[in-house]
Amino acid sequence: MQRTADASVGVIRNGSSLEKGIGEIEKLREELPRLCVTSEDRVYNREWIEAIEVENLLTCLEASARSALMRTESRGLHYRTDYLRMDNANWLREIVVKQAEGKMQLTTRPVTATTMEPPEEIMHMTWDEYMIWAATKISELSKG
Amino acid sequence: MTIPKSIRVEVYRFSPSTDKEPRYQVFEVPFIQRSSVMNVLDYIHDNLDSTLAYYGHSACYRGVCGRCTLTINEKASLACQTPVTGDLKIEPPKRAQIIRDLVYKL
Repeated sequence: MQRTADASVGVIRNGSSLEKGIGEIEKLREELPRLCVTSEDRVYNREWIEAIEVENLLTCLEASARSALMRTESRGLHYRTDYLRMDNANWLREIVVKQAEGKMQLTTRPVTATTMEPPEEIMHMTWDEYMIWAATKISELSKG
Repeated sequence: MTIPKSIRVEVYRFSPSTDKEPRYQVFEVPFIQRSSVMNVLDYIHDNLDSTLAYYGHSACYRGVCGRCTLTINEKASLACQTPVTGDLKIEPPKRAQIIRDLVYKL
């Protein structure tokens, strides 16, 4: 699982690496019922701790990989070599992962703003328009 | 000085629910330069005996949290910060209340 997470779902990812990673995750999920521990001790049994952790980690990894595959843009620590640029017009959104009939269901919703709303004008900009907009803002601010 | 191929590691084992007396188990571990006592415990757990209990799964590995405090070759030390130079004897801190093996009540 560590190898898959590192090779396919690292910071630099792309569609085919993510699809490969999801395939490997599904295989690991199938193997999960066969996982066993050798120590029956109920006190600080690290094998048991890790066996419990691995199922939850697999769920987190799958949610992460599936939403990274859905997000066809680059943003912050999600860097896709097949979609190099940030895409505010389509992806200024949050991805929500839900469990539905034993499968992960992905939907999107607008970003949840807490203290600051994202500026309205950037919502529909292309990357180039956005870069010019940002540079203009910075120069305006530095002029005071 | 010749570099040893492997080291002899003596580890304190005690499970209060099943054992009457603590015992020492000896492991033969490959000697890896620039490794720590924590690396040795991880090696034993991953390759030799996964029933060994020691505090590692959420320790910091950086000498900050102190959860890996053990008696190493008769001296109180942090497992993650103690370099391996030769044979080892690993025990819980003196007078600690043992939960299992190298895990004790803080």
